Amino acid sequence: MINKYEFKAMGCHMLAALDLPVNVTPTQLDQVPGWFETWEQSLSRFRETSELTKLNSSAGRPFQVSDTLWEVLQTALESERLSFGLVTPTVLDALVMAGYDRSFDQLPPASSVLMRDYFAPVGLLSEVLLEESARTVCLPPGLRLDLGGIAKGWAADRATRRLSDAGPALVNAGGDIAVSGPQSNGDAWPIGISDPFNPEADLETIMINRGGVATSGKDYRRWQQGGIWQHHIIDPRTGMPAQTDVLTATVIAPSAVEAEVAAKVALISGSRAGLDWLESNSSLAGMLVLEDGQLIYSRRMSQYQWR
Amino acid sequence: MPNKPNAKNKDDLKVIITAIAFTLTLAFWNFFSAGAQKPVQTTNIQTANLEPSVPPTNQVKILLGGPAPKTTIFISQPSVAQPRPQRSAPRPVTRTASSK
Repeated sequence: MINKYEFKAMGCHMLAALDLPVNVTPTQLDQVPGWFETWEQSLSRFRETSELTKLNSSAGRPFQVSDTLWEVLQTALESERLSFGLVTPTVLDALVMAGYDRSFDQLPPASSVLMRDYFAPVGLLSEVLLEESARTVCLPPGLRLDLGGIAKGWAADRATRRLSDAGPALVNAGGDIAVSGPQSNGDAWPIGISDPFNPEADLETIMINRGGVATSGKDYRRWQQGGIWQHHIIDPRTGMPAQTDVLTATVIAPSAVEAEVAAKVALISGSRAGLDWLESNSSLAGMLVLEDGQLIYSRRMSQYQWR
Repeated sequence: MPNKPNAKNKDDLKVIITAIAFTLTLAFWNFFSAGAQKPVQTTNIQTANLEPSVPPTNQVKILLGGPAPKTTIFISQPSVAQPRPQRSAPRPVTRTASSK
């Protein structure tokens, strides 16, 4: 029997699911919001007292970080390497300049502030000094971090791993989904892919045994600045919201954080280069929804589609 | 004019010989025709074996040797692919979308 627990964390809707025998009480699910609260206190850029906020204000001097922040920074570093720099946490200032300067639910739908007319590529995390023995991070002046999607994917993977001690588990952290293994009856977990043009409906149902699924898109977290639509996916090469024909990208990968990174790469790269990149990675499968409504599937996607 | 004394016996003999010849003809016909039957081409043909219906009690069963054959009905099917039965997708446990 699948037991579910839903809550809000990291500015998103969360769901944890645990497959247990009918007569077993899912007490482990009660602990999940507490885990996310602890991680958010370390990883959020919107909390003034968070560890990340303190790190961002410590530019120019070494800052000792917790195990959690260190681990997520290492994950971000690896993601940056795998994405050839397209997915990096160093985009915070670019996000703020684009208007994303507070949590999304507090963001006005339209701001009269004019866009700046000068953009620049952002720096990379690999240029930041990370001292492993002392667990210190030294950010250069003018460079601040936003762990956003990486933190959510990492948290989904971590929570799922913890829950899997009790039984087959699934955690959905704002669209980044991690699955520990097949359900108790051996079936894969059915997961819907939301239609960005009709959010109440699903475009596909995919069957996932283990690993991760994530969707990145410019359909929801977007706003107007100076009369121009902006969104939260920054292209580090320009420092601007990505100019792309892809509205949403959904990717299946060995983990939620890898799926999150791959979905962002596909979205930023655009449909043609994004699809080529997905096809060249044997551990990835994906589906792109273009702005004109077209659906594009990578070849391996058929392995997961409900038939 | 009276009949010849053994004329009836001759007629009886003729009838018996005719009956035996007729019976043998039928028996041999049945025997050899069974061996000469060619197998039926069954490509794209669906077969259905039906149990023979029980004959009415007032009907005489003609036995020419061997068990009564089973009735076989041949139904020719067009070679187009049959549509797969539609299965509805299972209800998703959760959904993925842009971070909400």
